[in-house]
Amino acid sequence: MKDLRELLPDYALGLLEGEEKTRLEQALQTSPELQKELAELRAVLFKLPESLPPVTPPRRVWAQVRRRAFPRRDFLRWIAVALVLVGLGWGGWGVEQYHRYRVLAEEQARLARWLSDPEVKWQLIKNDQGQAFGAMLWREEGPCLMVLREPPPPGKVYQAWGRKSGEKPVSLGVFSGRIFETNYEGFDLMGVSLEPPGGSPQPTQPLGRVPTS
Amino acid sequence: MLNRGVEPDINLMSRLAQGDERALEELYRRYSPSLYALLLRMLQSREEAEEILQDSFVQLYREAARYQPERGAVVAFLFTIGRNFALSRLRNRKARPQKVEAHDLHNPEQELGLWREDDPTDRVLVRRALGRLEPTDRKLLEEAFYDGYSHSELAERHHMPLGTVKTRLRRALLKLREYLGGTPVSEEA
Repeated sequence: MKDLRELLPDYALGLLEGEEKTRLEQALQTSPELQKELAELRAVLFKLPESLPPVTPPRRVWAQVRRRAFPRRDFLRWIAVALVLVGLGWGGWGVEQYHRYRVLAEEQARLARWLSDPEVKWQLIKNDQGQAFGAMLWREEGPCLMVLREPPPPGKVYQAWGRKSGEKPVSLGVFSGRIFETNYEGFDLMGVSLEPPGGSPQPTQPLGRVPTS
Repeated sequence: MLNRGVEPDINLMSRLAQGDERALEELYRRYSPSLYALLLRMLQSREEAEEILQDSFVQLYREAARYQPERGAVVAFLFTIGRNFALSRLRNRKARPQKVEAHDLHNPEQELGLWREDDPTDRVLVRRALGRLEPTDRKLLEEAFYDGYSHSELAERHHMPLGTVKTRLRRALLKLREYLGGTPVSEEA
């Protein structure tokens, strides 16, 4: 045992090789005394770095260690982030759908009120080629409702116009749904155009018109 | 020792063996500055020292289940891993790195304000103990420990017989143990 003990300092320093190293390692498996002495020598040896000023490593090192040691958790974290984003997406989509539903319900309710009124008259709104793309409902005292077959294409709005003969058209407002309630009193023609969001001072893409008398 | 935390290192190792990321984080907090300092001293390269530091803590995690407290302290276990990685790197190089004189992180005259927060009593004690060693013994010990020189390389560098190198190294380590409060050297090597 004594000669094996003498090999311990070299072993602790990593300087033992070959047959001596094998013999010592075998003995270490079964000898608590040798294990204890080796532990003591290693403890002393690794006091040497304490004579050096410690240096804080850059933060990226820990980030790399974490990523390598716990890659699955990193993956799970990404999954969690993705789920949250999907949830937010679904939430946003849900809010958008609810908003659309409400607009549609309001349009239907308004249309039902107009159609149930026995005093209401109606006329097709046609383009220059004579094709109808909507209708205008009106009452004698002036109120009218423009009803279009399709909603405006993405990035565009409808703009309603009123016009007296020989004068420039007057904007009555913009709308992005399929119905628009306004008043035709004082105008000879009522028209609809397609415009960029916010509308235009004058019609840039007229769709069609309808006479009021 | 370096352990300043409330929870003993051994407990942290048990938690680490069960995959507890926080345990590894705490061990990293406690020991990465000292291990990084050792690796910088051995490799004289920040890039390689960072790489080996990473490897060491990943390996500590992988081997946590195999750790046996009766075989030594956690810090010795970790430093053995780190030093072995660094030694392999050194032995794969054609030449040992030369100390970078212009920017030596471990020159006390060039402190960078990166010292540990704790009382540097341990550092003073270790330096004092090293200072009590016979200068050649100390040099042999430091060259073997930090630079990974083998017995034959040390014999050639110091123009000494191989047997003398072995004897002096053994004596240096045993004396250091005695000076640091361990078992007195019972035999004159």
